[in-house]
Amino acid sequence: MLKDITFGQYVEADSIIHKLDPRIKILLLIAYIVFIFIVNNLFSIAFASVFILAVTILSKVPVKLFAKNIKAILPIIIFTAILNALYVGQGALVIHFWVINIYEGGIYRAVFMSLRIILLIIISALLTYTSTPTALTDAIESLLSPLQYIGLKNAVHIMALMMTIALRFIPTLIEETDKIMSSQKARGASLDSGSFKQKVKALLPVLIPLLSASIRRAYELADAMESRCYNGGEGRVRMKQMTLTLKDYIAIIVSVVFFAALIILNTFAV
Amino acid sequence: MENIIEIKNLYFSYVDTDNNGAVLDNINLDIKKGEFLCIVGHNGSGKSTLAKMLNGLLRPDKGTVCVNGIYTSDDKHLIDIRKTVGMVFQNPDNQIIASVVEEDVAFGPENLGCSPQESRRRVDQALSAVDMAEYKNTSPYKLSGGQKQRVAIAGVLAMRPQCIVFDESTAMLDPKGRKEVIATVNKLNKQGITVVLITHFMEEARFADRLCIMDNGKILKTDTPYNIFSDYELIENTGLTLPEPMKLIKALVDCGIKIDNKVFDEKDACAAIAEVLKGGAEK
Repeated sequence: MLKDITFGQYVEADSIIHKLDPRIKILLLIAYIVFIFIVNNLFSIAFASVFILAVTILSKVPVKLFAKNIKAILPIIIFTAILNALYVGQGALVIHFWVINIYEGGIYRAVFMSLRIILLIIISALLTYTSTPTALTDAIESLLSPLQYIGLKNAVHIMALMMTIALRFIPTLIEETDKIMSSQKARGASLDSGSFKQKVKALLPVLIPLLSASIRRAYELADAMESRCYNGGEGRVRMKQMTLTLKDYIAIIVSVVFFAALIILNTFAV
Repeated sequence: MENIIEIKNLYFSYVDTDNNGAVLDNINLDIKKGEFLCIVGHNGSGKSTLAKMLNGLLRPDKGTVCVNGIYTSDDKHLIDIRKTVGMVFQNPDNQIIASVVEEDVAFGPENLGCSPQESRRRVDQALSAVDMAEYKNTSPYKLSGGQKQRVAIAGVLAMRPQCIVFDESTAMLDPKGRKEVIATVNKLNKQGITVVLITHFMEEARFADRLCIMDNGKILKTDTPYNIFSDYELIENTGLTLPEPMKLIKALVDCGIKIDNKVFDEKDACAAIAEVLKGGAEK
């Protein structure tokens, strides 16, 4: 049962968004988030919505996956919308009921904030849906590499290696947990009955063997890495060098044009 | 023949240097270039400790281990030693580092500072040498035990070692996986790579040029598999089990039948038995 857990959210598809350099995707994501926060009128955010919707369709990731993401934070969206609707007191009074007064400005604001949150969710999910965890790890290592110039060379390398090994061992450890749980059940442990406290207590006989096995694994892995001439980050050259291709430049140009259009709309639209 | 590894008066203990807890006790062994050496012994005989001595993962308390003229006690040249003597361990899961096969195989060359093109070339070569080229973009956890172990071998091969030590690399595999790995080991040895195979399966030992029997931290005997398999007293004393054909011949000898006991596999055993039967018919 535990085996079916997928780690990361990668959705395999053959799209231009999938093929973009993960570094560019991370940087563009940050830029999109910043611009979505900068714009402050409904007209611009509507324009951004149309553009991001187009990118989403281009990624060939099933739309229902994004819908699932939005559903997960629907309470937050509704809460924000209501709060904004109630507290913004501009424009004409639209609804007057007992102590509740909702103005035109409030409705406008509520729609705007909801759209902003939805866009943030979609654009972030787009990154994890279209990049493998390995690609993201490599990208983070590469993006952090300037830190080496301020004396943190080893820190970057160690962090990247830790992420790589963690990703690599997730399925192995899940398999091991499964085995330990089965063997404890065979000895009469009841792992899924009783109160919360009892359940937590029952997990101890699973966690302790898992921990001791992991430590043993770590020792063996260290031996194996040393045997393969691992000597810290010094002098290590990665086989897969990330290079920007035409697609990446196109993505950058399209995005910059979009940002410019967004700013213009935001300044001149009334 | 030239020696690739020379072990002289090696003494080692995990606890301290008292003479009580010796895991390796006065080991002397020369490993020749290009040979297939098999080290056999039951659990706790010190064979895995000896393996870790060969590439400097452990250092001798007394005595020396010398690889191609470099002593393993020399910290400055450890990388050279590990480049020369690669090692494949028992548990395939604990020696694969990356989530993609080809990136794992690239780990060695990357550490050695090979250029990306050179790494790529070595990875492709190593993967095709172990017949795993088609899996280069697969996740290791989707592979079988035998396939994982072959990926581990490719990871060592990519460093272009002259010698590979297999530390019970077949112990955790099913019969099919074991067969795959042993076939790969034989193939590599034929291509000129020195092989040190550590195992407790006597079956695997018969392919070796020389067989080394270990017990209690000592080397009891180093000889050809032929001579060792027919030394019944030694085999019994060390608690090892003979491969099936040799077991049969031994049973015949025990019954008092005069038979050539220097057999090797099923074919030899058949020939030896046929010889005896013919002799009986003539009488």
